[in-house]
Amino acid sequence: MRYYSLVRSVTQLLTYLYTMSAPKPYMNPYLAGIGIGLVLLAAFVIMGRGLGASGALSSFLTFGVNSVAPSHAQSNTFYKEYLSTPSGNPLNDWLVFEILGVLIGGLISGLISGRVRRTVDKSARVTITTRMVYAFSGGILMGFGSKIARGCTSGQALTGGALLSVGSWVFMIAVFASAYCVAYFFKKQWT
Amino acid sequence: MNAPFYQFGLFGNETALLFAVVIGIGFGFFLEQAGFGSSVKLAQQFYFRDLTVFKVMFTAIITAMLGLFWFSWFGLIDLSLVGVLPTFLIPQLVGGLVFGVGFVMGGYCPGTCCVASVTGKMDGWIHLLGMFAGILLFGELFPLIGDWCSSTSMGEITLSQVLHLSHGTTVLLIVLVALAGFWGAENLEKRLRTE
Amino acid sequence: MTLNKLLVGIVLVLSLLAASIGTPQQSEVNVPEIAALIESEQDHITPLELAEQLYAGKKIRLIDLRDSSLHALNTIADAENMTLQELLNGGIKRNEVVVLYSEGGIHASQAWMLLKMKYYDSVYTLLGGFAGWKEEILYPTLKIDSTYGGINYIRRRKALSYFFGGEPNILSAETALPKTARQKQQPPNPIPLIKFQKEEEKLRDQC
Repeated sequence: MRYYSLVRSVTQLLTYLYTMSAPKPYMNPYLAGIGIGLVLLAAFVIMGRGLGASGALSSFLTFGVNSVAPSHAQSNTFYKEYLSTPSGNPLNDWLVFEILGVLIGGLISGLISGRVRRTVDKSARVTITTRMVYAFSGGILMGFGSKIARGCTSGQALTGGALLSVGSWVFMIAVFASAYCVAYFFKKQWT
Repeated sequence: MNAPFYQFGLFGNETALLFAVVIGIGFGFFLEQAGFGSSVKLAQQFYFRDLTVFKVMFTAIITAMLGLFWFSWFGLIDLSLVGVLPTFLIPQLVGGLVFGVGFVMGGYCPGTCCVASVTGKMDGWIHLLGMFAGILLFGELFPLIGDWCSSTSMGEITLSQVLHLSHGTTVLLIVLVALAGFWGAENLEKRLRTE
Repeated sequence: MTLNKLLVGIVLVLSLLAASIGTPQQSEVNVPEIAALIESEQDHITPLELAEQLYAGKKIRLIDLRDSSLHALNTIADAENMTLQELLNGGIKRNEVVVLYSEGGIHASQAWMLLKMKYYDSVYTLLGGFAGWKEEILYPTLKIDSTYGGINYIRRRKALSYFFGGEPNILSAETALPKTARQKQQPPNPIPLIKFQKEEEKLRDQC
């Protein structure tokens, strides 16, 4: 019963932050970069590994597939890899917990900077539907591409980049190259 | 020398997961602080209007890179225990090309997508669903393309091995490229702002 | 702007220094430290010490570096069989307490040296190797000694031998122990009288 007042005040605080504060300016990009670099360095020093994101998503997906169609998941080599954690539960994975942290950290930063708002981020020149279609299709390509490349910008570009891995630098250059090449076709969505 | 701490057995798996959350909080915090919770801001990179993506990514890379070098030199970390990511040349190249298209189309990368979703961007949620669909597609096609994805394996090679330069010289090279890029980025942004 | 310039300056200095250094790997092995460990005998454990610790239930990871056929024939307790390559490629954790042994001890010592060069902390070799284990623990030659200490000692050795699946070889009392050996097994030196006298004086003074 005594938690009720605590929950109520926290909710009030969150609602205030959500509705009242105007968005603050972004941090100096170089400082933010140093911040991320130090977090990455901490991961190396503490764990001997870097950051990641797409791996956590694969764990979640494998968990879902395993819940719906376990025999299919266990007969597929790809899903098997994510099922072979010590406890057999794909969610018992370092990256899954890291991405939970990312969600928390992002939320904290958004709250203190007044940038938490239910919105659809796009330019005024496209409709919400168009944006959603592109977001979904872009997501498919990104998910697929990240599995082929065994990582994403966090896992390959940042982590592998700092470690001077050849494949990671190739990945990063390829991402920028292809993005610049097709940027023209999506200009209306962003500008 | 005792680092990486986990590899020296200084703590167990449960504590490792706790560290994962803490590290993730730091990562997500700075991603959002840089403004990467917004797909519009992220995409500006590819129209040369706002080069924050380049600045943040490369600053992070050279910070961690220099950190690793100097920590190792001072005997504070054993680099042989920090696994260099293995190179699969063609898959990573092709994967990068596909990923890049998805990046401009969707406006997010997996990490920033999570940050955006948690700060209320509905397009972030849809993009996240799309990524799950993409991974599912990959999983279902894996029996067919799985072998190709492990082709052209070159092992754990580093840029310094390929360029036949010492580790330190490669670090310097990348730093110089990054600094040149920052200088160019600042000038480009200034010029576009005055137009 | 000045903050950015400062950052640029720091980064340039660090990377120029890095380029001049070349490789950051610590290639200098701490030879004196390793030599000191060897000289102070902290690099090995005797078969008797190991047997006592295992008998008392202590959890020690034992690594058998011999050929797998020899390992299958006979081994110490629940020792694991590993090749040198497996051992060096993440076979054991860096701060795990591990006792290595080979047939005579040379292979184990070489492995110990290599692990020490890679900053492994708590690795030890078994002095005398498996051959020493057989001689001292599994099949010891025990001469019957009727002194108090001697009987307990033999009882202990017999217990250890049977515990590890061996068979002690007990020699009869006719081949008595030489005098010096018997003296070694006497109870510890009595406490010097002088100390007691001083205590008594202190107490007397307090009265």
